[in-house]
Amino acid sequence: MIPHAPILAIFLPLFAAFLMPIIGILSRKRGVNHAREWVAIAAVLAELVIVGSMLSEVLSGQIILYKLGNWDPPWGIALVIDGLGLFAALIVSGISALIVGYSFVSMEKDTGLDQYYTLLMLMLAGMMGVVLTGDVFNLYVFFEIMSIAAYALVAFRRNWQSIEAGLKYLIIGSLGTSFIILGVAFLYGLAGSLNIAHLAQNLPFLPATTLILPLGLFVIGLGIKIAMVPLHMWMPDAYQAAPPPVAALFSGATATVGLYAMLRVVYMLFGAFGIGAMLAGLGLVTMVLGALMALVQRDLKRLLAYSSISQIGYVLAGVGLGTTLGIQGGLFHLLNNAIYKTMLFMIAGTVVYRVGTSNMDKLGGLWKNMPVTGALFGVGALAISGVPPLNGFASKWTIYMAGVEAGQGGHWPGYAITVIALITSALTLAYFLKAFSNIFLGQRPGHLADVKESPRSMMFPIMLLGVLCVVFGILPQIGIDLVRPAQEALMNSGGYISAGLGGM
Amino acid sequence: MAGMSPIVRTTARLLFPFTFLFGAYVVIHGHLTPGGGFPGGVIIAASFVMLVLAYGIERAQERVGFTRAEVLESIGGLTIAILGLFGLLAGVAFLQNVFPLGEFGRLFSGGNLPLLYLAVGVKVTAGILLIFYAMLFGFGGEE
Repeated sequence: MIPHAPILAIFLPLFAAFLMPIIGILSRKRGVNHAREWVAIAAVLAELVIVGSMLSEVLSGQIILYKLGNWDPPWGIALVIDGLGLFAALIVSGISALIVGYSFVSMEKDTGLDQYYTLLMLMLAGMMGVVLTGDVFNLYVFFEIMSIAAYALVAFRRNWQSIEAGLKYLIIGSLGTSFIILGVAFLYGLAGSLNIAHLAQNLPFLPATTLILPLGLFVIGLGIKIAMVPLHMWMPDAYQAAPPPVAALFSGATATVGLYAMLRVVYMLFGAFGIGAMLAGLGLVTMVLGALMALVQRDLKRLLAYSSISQIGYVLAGVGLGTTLGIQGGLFHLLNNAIYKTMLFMIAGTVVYRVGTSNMDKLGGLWKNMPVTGALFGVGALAISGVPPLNGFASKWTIYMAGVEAGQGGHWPGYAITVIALITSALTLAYFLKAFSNIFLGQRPGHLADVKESPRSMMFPIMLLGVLCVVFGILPQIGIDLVRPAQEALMNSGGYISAGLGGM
Repeated sequence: MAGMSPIVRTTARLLFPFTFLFGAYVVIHGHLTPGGGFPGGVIIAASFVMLVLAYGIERAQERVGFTRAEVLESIGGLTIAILGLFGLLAGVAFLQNVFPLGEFGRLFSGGNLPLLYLAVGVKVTAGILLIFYAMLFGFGGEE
């Protein structure tokens, strides 16, 4: 581990964010091109190295405790990194690195890129803070940093649609974070601590009836953030109106962070309440409704947004089962969702970049113009629909098996999860085939005849993700091995408690 | 925005040094008295905003332009970050104090706390000015 890696992982993007306006001004004065882009790329790559350096410790079963200001927990703020936290941190930093590389060309026609990269770096700092912290109030603060940067990024292009979506996201998102802070306040009042490990230690001794209110507040607040049905209404607008790289970042990294917070706070703190069944139920509703809504969309980005909602449902259903297999499947699906959903949003971005619209009624026959993009879209679409031998199949299969296993163990709802997940998978295939045929097959409108293939630098991150889709599909064992530390961390809250309190 | 009547201008001009001084006092004594970087920075920014309202945007921008405010804001943020790094490099933990603590109750005491307040004050002043300028530009339709 690089010394002080946990704090550096949060500090570095924050520093880069503050540096960005100065670099923008200096580079304009000196006439240097693309200075901001290169600084941002350097920052995310360094971030990836820092996060990666913690891997060996965590994989060997250790839980890293980093005391801020050297104050002992539970009094001081601590960063606690276990398998689950590092798993989310790796997804976030990896996706962010690809997004910054993709933004290079994708955003070159926009003005105000100082602000764009500042906000992107702030958002990365917020996301890293959420996944690495061991303090529930700190988690709220970083969630706010992430969300406020996200509101501004949605409204970045400042047209009518994006400002409306940004405002909607701002109002609903602030409502969500208010619920979270209220929940934190109640927990502090009840247990007298904000340290997650300390809370997890003390909550079982409190009367259950007093914990229902904070639990409800957390589920609603975090549910808004991850766009769980019926709290999802902001999400399609925001994803459609945001610039494509931002939408890709939202679907890959922000959704992962939201789900991480849901698992860490709700599942680990309130695990004793049979919260799993509730999460699984909400997951099923989310899954089905997201897929049904995606089926009728005419806009590619909107379709992808509803599909994101549907995929979040799979993760919740898998984790909600609470068995080893279920949690492994759910977390594996979280990883896979980050991979192919980022990829699909990036492809939507290249189509918008070349054609200027993501309205599927106005597209068609683009296979002749952009065969590589089309093929990669096909890979992503098949992966998300769970067609073997791609990665979506591996994680969905694990979730189906977990449902059957739970059913055989006497819990009949397990079978229901498997059946509903299977049907939703078929629906997913249906709407992605529709999207594929509308964009790449069929009649090509005359004015699209001289559309060119996507630019190489935008293609590279997409290809990388496409390769990951195939690798995790053919060799699912790699994915399961990656996920296992996170699953063990989620099921072993005792280890987290003793490590988070410094071995007390 | 053209500015207001001579009465308002004169009052604003007379009040400006006192408001500014009070803001600076609140920032610098942040570690000793109630207040600190944030409220002090807001007071300093308010003194500038008062001038902007009285004299019009052009005169105020000669003093503190948009770019200068942007640079100041970044410098404020970077200072906080670098002070944090000092703690990491010279001490044990991020933001840990590495400066002499001094005598309790004196102006030059409290280690890195007054420096942090100063950085916060600069950042908040510049930030609030930026927000104000941005709103003026938004209404004026510039940029």
